[in-house]
Amino acid sequence: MLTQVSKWRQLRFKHWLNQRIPAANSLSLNKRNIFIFPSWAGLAYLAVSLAIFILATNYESNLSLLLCYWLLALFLILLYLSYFNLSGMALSASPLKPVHVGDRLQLEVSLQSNKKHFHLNWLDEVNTQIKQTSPGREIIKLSWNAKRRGNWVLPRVKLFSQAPSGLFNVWTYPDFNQQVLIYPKLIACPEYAFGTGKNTTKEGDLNQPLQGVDFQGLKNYQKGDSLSRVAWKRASFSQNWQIKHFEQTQDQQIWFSIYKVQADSIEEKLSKLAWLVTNAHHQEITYGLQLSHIELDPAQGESHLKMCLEQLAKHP
Amino acid sequence: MKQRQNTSEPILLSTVLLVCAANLVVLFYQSLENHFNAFFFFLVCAAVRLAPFFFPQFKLKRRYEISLFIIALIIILTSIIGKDILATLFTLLVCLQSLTILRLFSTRELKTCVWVLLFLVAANLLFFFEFQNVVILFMAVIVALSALINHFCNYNIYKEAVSRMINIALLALPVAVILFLVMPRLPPLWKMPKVESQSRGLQDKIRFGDIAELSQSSNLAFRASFDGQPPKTSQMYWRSFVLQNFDGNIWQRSEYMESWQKLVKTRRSGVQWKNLQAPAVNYQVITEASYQNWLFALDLATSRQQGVISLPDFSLYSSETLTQKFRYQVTSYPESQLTDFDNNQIKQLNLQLPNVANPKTEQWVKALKQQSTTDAELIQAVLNYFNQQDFYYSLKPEVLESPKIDDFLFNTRTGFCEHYAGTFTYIMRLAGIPARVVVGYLGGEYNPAGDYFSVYQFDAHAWAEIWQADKGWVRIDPTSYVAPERVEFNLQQAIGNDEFLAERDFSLFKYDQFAAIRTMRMLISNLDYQWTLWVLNYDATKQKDLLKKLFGETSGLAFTLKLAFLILGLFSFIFVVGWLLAHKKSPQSQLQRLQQKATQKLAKKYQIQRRQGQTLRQLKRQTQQHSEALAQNWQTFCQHFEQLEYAPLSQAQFKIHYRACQQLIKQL
Repeated sequence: MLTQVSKWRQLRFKHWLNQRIPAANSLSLNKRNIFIFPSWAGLAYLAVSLAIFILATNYESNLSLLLCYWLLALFLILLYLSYFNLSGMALSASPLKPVHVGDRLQLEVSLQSNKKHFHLNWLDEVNTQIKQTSPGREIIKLSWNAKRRGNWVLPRVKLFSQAPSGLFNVWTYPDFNQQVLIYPKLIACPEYAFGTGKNTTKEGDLNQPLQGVDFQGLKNYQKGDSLSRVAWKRASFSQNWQIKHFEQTQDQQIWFSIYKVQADSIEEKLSKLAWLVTNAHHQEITYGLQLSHIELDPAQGESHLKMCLEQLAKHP
Repeated sequence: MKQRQNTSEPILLSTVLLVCAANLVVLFYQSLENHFNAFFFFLVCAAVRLAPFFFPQFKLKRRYEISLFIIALIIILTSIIGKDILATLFTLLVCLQSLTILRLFSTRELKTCVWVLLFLVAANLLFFFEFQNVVILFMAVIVALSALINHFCNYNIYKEAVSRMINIALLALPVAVILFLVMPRLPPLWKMPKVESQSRGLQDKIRFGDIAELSQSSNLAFRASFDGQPPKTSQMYWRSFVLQNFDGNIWQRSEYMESWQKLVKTRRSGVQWKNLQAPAVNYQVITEASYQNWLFALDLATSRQQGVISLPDFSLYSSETLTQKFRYQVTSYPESQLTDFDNNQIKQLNLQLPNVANPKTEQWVKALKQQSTTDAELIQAVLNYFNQQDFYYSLKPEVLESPKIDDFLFNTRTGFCEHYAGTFTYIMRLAGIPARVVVGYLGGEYNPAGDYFSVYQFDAHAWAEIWQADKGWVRIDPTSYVAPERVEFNLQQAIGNDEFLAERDFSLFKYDQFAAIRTMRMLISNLDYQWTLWVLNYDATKQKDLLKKLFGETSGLAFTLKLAFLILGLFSFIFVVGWLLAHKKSPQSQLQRLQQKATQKLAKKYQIQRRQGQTLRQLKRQTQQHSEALAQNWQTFCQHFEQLEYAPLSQAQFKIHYRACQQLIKQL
């Protein structure tokens, strides 16, 4: 029951917050989106003021009374100063760049203001703290750990400050409206570097050899040729060694298939495939990717790699 | 949403220094009223805390730390013995404060330290209410709060943190003053243990030499301001109390009067004088905190103020011990006869003689009595004796041998006012004339700027009163026959500058012959007087008067509206002040604005948009497409701007370039 109530309250709060600070790429801090409340230290300060008031009243000491009122006036002025320490700041986030699982997600927030701001604390995963900003533009990097593959939605980031006096907590919850795909982790598997072949159950050809590399014929052995390519069967009855000659065709293509990669779990398979496509991209090989839900025809280039990785990330 | 707040930041050296400085002042004041042990303990703790900043290898061993805790415990325990509860409480606070400084490693301790300091300052203000002390204590508060600001804003420069805090503090002051003036006053909520301290000024037991000793002090006793024409200073005999019992050495209060003192404390009402004779003199007196109950007034004094009571010996008495400056209103009737409240007691009380005999004096008085026919003749003969024989008036009288009166009259012949008054009273009693010693102050220094009289401890005086059946009590001041200058002028005139305040070479009074120093002393004195009048003695009655002056009526809708308006004004004032403080112009923000203005103008007038990352100079090509003149202007603007941004400039140079930039923006 209690958990239900708290859940309901949390939902209400989220709803209220969404109306109050709608998700947006940029946010300029003002009275609509800044929250302020005395900190514990602020409440203690008020308690001390009250104690001084009682002391002053009971001993009829005007000076202590003056001290008490002065402390209260300071409290009010510091309230405004604490608020002004956050207000007037324009935050805008640049789009998140996709990363692999286990890497650091970095959100670049640019902070534009025409005054100094002090003691800015961000509740990201590393509690980024900025002691002081100078007027103008500043870039702040917030970071999170990429834990799970797939679509990741940036949560609301709490930004809070106690400057200048520690009497008030001033905070805001900007929602930068960002989401990003987290690619699978890279697990090296050089054994499949030249492709796994395609699962072509429809055509019935299961044992297709290395795709895209054709056997062209035999050539005489020359110094420097690889010993592994020597046709040993022929060498046994011939004086001249001959080597098998392969030639890559113009549209040399290899395939990576989820069905062919050996691994313990689907996640590991995806990780290996991610490494394979990245590796192939760096080797400038044309490659295609076969997944259970989609087939990407062989191609090359950044956009192809990106598409492959995205599909790997989205894999159900 | 998870809330993790990282507050364990290291405390900077500058923060620790600021905290220590503020505590040094406050705890020193605190120790003036209590023990110095706790203060020394604080010094040790502060030194231990500061050491690692200067000697990085320094680390306090655990067992030394524990022994410091034990020392604190011992100091607290010893303060419990033989001290009142308030002193113990404050010793406890001071020790805890010192230990907090010893362990000042996180924000939490820093805050605790500052909050306790605030309370200690408030406690100090109960004892130290002079203007200069209050300023020092308030500065300590500012320094303590600037330690907080230094910590949170990471200034690490004392000057910046302190100057920022001073800004805030000064702006808060008017708000505080308005609150102080208009907030309704509450009566004490409950009874607190009394503030205790050594009583100051005149004591109601006087030995020969006591007043002479008191006269070494230039402390203020009280101030008086008259509503109309003040009497002559030679007539300002400020009565404090009357002494009737003499044991040959000490003059003290009679048991009869002491029983009256006890009575009025509980009854809170005293004698009502009748047959008062006009004219009346009205005046206010503000006494310093004497930690006694005696008040000061001219004869014959009456007061309608609550807590101010008339005793049968014509003195005024406060029902509460004076732990603070106290202001009371008096009406005196100088022409009135001092006829006693209870005539039956007079002879019994005022003819008492000590057990110790003074044979020479007795003989001498017997002879005098035979020579003179009336009391008046006898009195005149005694006074003439003082006047014509070689009696000296001195602040440093010789110590008298017993029998003391004989020794004084026929041997040493140097004395201060209590010698003459005491001896004269004794002689009168020997002659059968009821007489007593009155103690108080004589004269006063007029301060023209504040229109009031200051009476200092060195104005302390003693004189005699004799009873005459037809006139009542008559004042006779034998001192005036020895040193008439004392009555006509003041003590300084009477004894000369060398002997006056002989032990206080640095007292400003010693340099009164220099006009500038005298003017300065009067100025400081007046400042303190106004401070006392307006701040220390501001009470519910004064508040009502002030509100009436400001708003006319102090009730009804109009008044409420006006008050609400005032409070609204107050809040908007704070808002504006806060905004100004937060948006204080820095050179960087000025440049930012300049840059913004220039690019905005280009965008509006010529549709030249500045792309992200483009420098100002890179915009030149775009301006060239418009006109050569524009490009020229733009280039000079860029030159000036770069100077502002990168060159190390003096204030004047900065101004020149800044002006040029503004001019060029207009010309674009």
